[in-house]
Amino acid sequence: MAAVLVLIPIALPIGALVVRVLGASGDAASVLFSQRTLELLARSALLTALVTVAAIVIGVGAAWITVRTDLRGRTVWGVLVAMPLVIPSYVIALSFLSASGPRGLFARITGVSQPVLDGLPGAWLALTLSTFPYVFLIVAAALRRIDPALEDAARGLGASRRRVFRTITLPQLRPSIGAGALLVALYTLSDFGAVSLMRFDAFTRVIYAQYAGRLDRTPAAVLSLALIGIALVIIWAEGRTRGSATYFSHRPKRTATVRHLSRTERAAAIIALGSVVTAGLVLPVLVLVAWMADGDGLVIASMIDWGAVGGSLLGSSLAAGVAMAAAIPVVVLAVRYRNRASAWLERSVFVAFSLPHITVAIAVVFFSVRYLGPFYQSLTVLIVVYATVFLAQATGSAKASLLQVDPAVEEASRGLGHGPWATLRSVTIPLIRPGLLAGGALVFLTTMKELPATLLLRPTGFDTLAVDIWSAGNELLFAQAAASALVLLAISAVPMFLLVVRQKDATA
Amino acid sequence: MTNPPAIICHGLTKSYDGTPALNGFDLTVHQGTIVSLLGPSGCGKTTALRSIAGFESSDAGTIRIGGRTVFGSGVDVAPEKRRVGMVFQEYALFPHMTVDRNIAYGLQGEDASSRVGEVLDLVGLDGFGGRMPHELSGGEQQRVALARALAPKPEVVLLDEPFSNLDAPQRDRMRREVRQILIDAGATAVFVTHDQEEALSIADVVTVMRDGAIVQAGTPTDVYSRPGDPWTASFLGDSVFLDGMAEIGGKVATALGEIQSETAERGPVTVMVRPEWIIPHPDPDGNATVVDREYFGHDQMLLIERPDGTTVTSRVGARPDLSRGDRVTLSIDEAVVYPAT
Repeated sequence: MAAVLVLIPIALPIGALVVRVLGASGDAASVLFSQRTLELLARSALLTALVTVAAIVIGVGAAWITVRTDLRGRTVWGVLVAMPLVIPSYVIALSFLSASGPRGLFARITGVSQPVLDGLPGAWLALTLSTFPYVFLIVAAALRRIDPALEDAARGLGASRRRVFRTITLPQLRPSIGAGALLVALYTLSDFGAVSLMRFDAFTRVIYAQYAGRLDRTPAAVLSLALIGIALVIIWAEGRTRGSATYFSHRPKRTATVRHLSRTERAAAIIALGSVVTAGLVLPVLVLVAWMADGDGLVIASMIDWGAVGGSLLGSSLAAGVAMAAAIPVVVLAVRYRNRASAWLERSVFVAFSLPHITVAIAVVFFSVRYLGPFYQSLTVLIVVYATVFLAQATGSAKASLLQVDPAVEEASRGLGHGPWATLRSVTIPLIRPGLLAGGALVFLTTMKELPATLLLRPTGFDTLAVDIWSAGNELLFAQAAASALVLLAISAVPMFLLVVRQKDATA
Repeated sequence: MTNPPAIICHGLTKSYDGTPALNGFDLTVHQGTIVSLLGPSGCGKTTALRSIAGFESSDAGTIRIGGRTVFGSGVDVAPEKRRVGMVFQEYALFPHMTVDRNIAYGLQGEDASSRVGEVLDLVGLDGFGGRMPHELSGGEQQRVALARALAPKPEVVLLDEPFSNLDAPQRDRMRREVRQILIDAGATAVFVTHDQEEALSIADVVTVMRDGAIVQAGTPTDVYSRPGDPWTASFLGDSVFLDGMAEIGGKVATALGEIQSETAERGPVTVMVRPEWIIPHPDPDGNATVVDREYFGHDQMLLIERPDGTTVTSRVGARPDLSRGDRVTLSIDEAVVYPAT
């Protein structure tokens, strides 16, 4: 029972939201089936489709080049290509937005007015660059797992390279591509920062506008529920593809033979990977640095909003701590007391993680205004929401750790006279501590980048770097936004570095 | 061996980052024969097989399959054009295709489906065509893999450690079955193994490989009873080594008595005897003693101590007349003589 409590902070508000919207049934239906909502749906669907297709093309292509060819330095390329994942989508959006346009960086440098990159093309570019690494990572892993004997067998039976790719390799990759695509679609649909900076009226931006700009907040509630519904469908589909993606029965013993690239093919591969890395990583960082350097004589330190730095650090650390504590009962139940209820709990933790944050935030706002008077817009509510939506990241690595602990160790402790709680405290928790800490670092990292929930739920006067980047970017104060973005990237690099080092140790 | 050769490998050399895997590999396989490539792990046998199939390119040497040069003198025919059927260690059945589609993968034209039926019949899997690979047992998967390789009527079938994934009773049955299927299909086959018993029991010709080259080739009886050197002798089975002294005419004196051999050596030699060639005779005045017995049911190994304190092993059938502590005299049926080591 204790573990179910961990999900109440968002399950209850969403439930209350459903009741409320159903109660206002006439209004709700008129909002839901209005011409505007259908247009909104079409726009969001178009953006999601465009981003997903582009992410698949780039992700699969980059995975194939870095795993299956003899391109020099392909391991380094593999790391570089995945790097845009650590840059929040709104930072990528900010850099493109601030570099283009009549008052943008390029215009200032060259003196020639540039068209502004925003709207659908801007949102498409920014979201493609920040999501394709999901497809890349999943497909690259799958490519490494495919038994090369299958491809050898096909060639031995007389199939050309092209036929082998089409009939053997691609069908093996299809579940992974599907899983990656659904992840990208979900991310795109949930993204708030990039679409709002790019002024593209997708679901999330409209929900925010309805919430912030109107007295009647029912439309915001209705649209939130609609978006939750769409997200649940994608989450369900993603779970299904994952379940069926088990073509691989054993680890291949032999690594696949790599394709030898001709001179022109090598040049093409380098240009392709190079432009992806430039657009997704090098250019955004360069633009941010250039804005700092262009700060009209301001001292860099004075551009940094130290209040926002403090807010980000405080919020992220508290969220990480609460999430780690809540993760313990969840993983113990999921691993040691495996039954239908604990399986449901695990699944709901994952669903909570996958829901668009703006919808969760709207639900919590409605709920706390009505039932939690004194806690409305308090730090407590914000931290609890952070910890709940990011709980899956803490449980993921803690579960992996606990799976490696032999239950006999805990039984030995019980046999030596320690009760279940004493055993948990003195044996289990110390043994899974590395996994818990890694999960905590991940929660810290994502909380740091979180934007919509923070925007809606933060106490008055509480500022974070993400909010600062977003509001400065919206007001076209690009130097200010760039300063906060660089600080955000620098702080994120620390837990990121620790996670990478830990993973290296684990594989060594 | 009057059939024309199906495969001729000559002087194949291949190294990985300076470590040689093949070192002057020569192999001739005649049509319609089953050849085993036997060697300890790391001797290069899998590299040899994959080079014949075209999945690896040797650094030097030539390969001819069915009278056509597929590798060497600037030629390196792609694997899909070599007409070689391969059966992989883990079978490598396409997991997303039915048995039928797996087998038809290498076939073209209209008679594909009738050929699928033919080979399914050949491997005894009639009616399994609609199954998916994961619905089959290990032995069934093995037979599908073999059927898939045989379907396009390749010049040769190559099998890479084909039985290593099966448990012991299944392995014995599959050995017999696979041999029979290959014979029924009239196929030429080369299979790689590190298991002596396997190599001896299913092959017409056993080739023994060591350090990237073939050290001996011959019929199973040949290589077992006339191993070319002491290493091959020990690798192929239990061996007892004795010191001996050779005289003119092939007479060799050993601690177990004098034997007649065909050796041209003179002076000190090493004599290799298989345990089953050492015959104990019950004899109360014998100078050797049975000190221990390892009983297997169908036969047994006797550990026999000689007067000088050294022991030899003797493999015998049911011998109720012999038990621990009995005195015996020993005689030797057969022996192989090597220069002294």
